[in-house]
Amino acid sequence: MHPRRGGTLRVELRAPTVSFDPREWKVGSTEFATDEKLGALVFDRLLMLDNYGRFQPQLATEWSHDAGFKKWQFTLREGVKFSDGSPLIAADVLAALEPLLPSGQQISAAGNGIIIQSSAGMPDLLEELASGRYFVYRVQPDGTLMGPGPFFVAGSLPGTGGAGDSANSTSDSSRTVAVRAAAKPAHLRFRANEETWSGRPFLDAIEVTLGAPPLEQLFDLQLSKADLVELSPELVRRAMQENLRVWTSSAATLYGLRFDQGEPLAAEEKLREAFSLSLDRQTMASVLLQKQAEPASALLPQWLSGYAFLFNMQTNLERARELRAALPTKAATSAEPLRLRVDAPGDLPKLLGERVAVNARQAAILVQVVNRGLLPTANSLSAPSSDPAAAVHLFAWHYSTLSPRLELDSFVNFFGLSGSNGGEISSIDPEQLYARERKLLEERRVLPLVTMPEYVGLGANVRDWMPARWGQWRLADVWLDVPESASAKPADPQNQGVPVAPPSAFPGVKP
Amino acid sequence: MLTVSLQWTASKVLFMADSGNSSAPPRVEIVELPRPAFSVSNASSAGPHLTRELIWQQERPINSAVEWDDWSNQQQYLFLFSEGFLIRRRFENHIWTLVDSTEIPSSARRHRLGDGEFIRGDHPPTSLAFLLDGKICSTQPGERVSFTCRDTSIGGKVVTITSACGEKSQILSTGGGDYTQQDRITLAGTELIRPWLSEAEIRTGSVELPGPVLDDQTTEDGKSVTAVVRNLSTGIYEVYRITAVCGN
Repeated sequence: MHPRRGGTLRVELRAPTVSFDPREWKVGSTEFATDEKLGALVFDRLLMLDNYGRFQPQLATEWSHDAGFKKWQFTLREGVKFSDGSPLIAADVLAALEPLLPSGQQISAAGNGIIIQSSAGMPDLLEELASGRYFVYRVQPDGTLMGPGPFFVAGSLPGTGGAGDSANSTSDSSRTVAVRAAAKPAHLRFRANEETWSGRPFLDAIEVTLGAPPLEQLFDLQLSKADLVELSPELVRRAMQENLRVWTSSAATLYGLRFDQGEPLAAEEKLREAFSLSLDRQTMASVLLQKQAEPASALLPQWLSGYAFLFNMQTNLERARELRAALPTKAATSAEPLRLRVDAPGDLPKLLGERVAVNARQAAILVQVVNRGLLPTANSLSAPSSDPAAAVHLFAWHYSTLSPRLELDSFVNFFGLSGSNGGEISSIDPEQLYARERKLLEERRVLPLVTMPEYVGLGANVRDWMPARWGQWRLADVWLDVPESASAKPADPQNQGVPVAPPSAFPGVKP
Repeated sequence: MLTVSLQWTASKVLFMADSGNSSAPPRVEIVELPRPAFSVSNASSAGPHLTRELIWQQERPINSAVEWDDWSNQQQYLFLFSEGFLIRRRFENHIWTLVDSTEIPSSARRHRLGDGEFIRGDHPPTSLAFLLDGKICSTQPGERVSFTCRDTSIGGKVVTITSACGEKSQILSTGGGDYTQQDRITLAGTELIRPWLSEAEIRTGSVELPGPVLDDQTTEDGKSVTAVVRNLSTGIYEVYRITAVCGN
């Protein structure tokens, strides 16, 4: 079956806001996933990682490095245009990536290319640039961002009617679109970029509804009012029972606990160990989360580090009680309960928090669960020191890079764990990375609980859905199996071919 | 105890050896390599059956391919549509050597794989024909590659080949899945109206392919089909020659 051109893909997302400015994206936050997915429609990266583990050219056509991986040179693709038709030049790439690159990495333009260098080796630079925030964009005079990607933002509409409309912020459609939770969903419309370097996408347009409640998304998929929806974990089983197409990513989000070192109780090493030994991750994943999550014994998932399976977080209530008995009598009792604040948004983290409290009680540790107040502008990751009254925080960390070193660095830096761990690491050596993560886990200042994949519900007419298993959707390759009459009429072709050289060497062999 | 394992990440393969016991943390040795590509193959069936032969592969997408024997100059060509280029290769010293190519005008490239699909031309063939953006175009295989186009309404994916098993042409058809699914090419009989085929007939009268058939074209002598397949295990684009043979 050959792809057809045309049609509008209707997408519904839970997130009430989306940012089109990679400089604003919060690495590790659950909002990052939405920002990146919609950003990928508008922007492109220098390269991508395909599903077979190979780096493929995007805006860069070639790259090379010195022996120590300290200096990388990228040749930019010629003829790339932004959505307004203006050409992409090396200065654009420089201006876009400079504010995004980690400290210590310098970028400079060199002819039709760029150079990235650092005093430390960067053997994982390709993984870094093929993921995360590393999109190429251009800031326009009015502050909005423009990209060379397969689509461009054609317009945004706030929810119509309803009391909350005045709170909608859609004045800057190329940068940030937000809708207040009380308001009706906002809509974003993306149109195919006819001039994109990678070839026009099959779809004519993508219509995105923001702030769509999970159950409403499921109903809309069933009623063919939506083609692609985010499925909440609690609705996955129901969707499968109703024979809907469900796609599952690799582990995308880690739920875990973080001890606040400013709190005297959290500083008690034995209490942390007892707490850790009381946790029953298997039951959390299989019963509480109905097998839609996996128990987590590591901070980085197996698909990213390759060594996560070596870690094993056992439940040992007997040992937990022994450790608890050795602590001061009042600690973590009704007189002085251990406060656990659920920082991650949504109902699922609250459930997890309550289960953690139940587990801890079995080891004679009394935990008082407090939920975070609903802050309209709050990010899913709150700053580590934002609530000194809670000794333990339940967090959600969204994996956002293909470099395990960078992911662990981001995690450690965000949660302020570097003090006892030797600061930022520069080595990509997997043995050193493993040793570093093992040390972090042995300190028990953070405790992984479960990892959750992303679930996507797909309409029956959605074809060539070929996302990366780590969550990149690649909607430019998707097409809709709609009647020919609904497709757009093709443009007139030119009648004459002109002999030219091929774009580059085509590797191939005759076996 | 020493445990040795092979682990895949998104971009690497890790060869790991860990030794440890309950009282000590494991000692881990890790060797990391870029992820290699792996391929799978399937055996063909017995009886009147099809054979397949890999003749070309490349990482860059192939939209359509066709083999062409040019009797006027005794040359064997392989034409490919790939990423917006019409490419001509000549078989020399057991290698398909690049001869030349021509770029498809961007206005005629309708989607991400580029465009262009070879079709059967006149019989006996005097030129190589292909569809491009709803028009029928042709090129002279023995000359420097270029093409001209005219309007047409040709479409469809069923192809025919001649077979040593009988006088009538055999009809071959692909499956109806999209690019995320494996495909097969099936002998669908000799009548143009596609007959109903039992599962057993499909199993014995078809060849399985390691990914979706992106394109299949009858060669100019009508004896085999050139099929472009994207191997779903490796991501490599492969070109197969499918031939109808008799007996074993």
